Amino acid sequence: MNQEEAIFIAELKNPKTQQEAFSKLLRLYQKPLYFHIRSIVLNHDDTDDVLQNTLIKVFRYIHDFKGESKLFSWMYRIATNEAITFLKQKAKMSNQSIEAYIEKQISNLASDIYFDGDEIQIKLQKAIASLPEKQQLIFKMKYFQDLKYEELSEILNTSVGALKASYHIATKKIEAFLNHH
Amino acid sequence: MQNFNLKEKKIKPSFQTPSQYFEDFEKKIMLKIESEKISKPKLLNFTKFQYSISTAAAVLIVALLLVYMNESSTKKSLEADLIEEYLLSQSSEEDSLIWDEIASQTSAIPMDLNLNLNIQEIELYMNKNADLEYFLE
Repeated sequence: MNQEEAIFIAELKNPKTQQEAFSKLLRLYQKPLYFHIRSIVLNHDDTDDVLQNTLIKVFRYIHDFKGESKLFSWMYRIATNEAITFLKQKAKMSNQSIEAYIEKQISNLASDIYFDGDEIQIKLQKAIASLPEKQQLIFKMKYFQDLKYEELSEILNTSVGALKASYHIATKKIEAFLNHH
Repeated sequence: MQNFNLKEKKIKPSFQTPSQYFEDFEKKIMLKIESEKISKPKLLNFTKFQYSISTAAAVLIVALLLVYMNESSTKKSLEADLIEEYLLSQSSEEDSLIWDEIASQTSAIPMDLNLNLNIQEIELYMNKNADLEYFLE
């Protein structure tokens, strides 16, 4: 952790500077966190709910943050967990498997007013959904958000080597899916 | 059939947001955080809580054991006293005379009596006096 981030975290923990520091945190991270969550839950309204839950948790647990990873990685980890938990709850409530629920969400994309994608983008979402859960996460964070392997390693608690292998396999599977469908 | 290469052709998802979403989101979340600050429940430290409960339970068990042990020992001594009292109250004057006689005879036997008996003498005595049939039954 660099000194600038250490000062920022201290400001987030200090009740006197907390509010201003949290506004700064929102300006810096709300967009990347939004698009990370959106890539998992797909729908805008659901993303809004998950983003709120994520940031409330960041605020609530910032005092417990020990600085063992970067603040950004810690928040991404919370956002990822929140998004996956959200999907599991939604699938359970609608009495479906998580795969069936995601498939339904993808088929809804075509009529989503906040999705301006063409056929190939929907096909790409279907290809991603055919991967195992962890490969999906790795692919989305690397391909859509251009995160570095070192950052992914901190967020997903996986070695860089394993991430590289996973991303390579995911890419090959998606290319094969796109070529055959 | 197309030949997709994801490295060459980047497919970006076209996720959009309502206009002014991020500007409004900041206000919305800051309001939520304000209410969170007001209504934040004070959580008990679970480990500390668990430790306190365990200690209290242990103290209670020890206290109950002490009370029980004290009560049972009082009961035992009471019972012994009652039995002694009962025996004394039930014994007649005749009994007391018998007990006194036994006591006087017992005290008449010298305690340091040294009986130099050997096996042959015991056998001789037994042959003369004991009812062997009784022992052999």
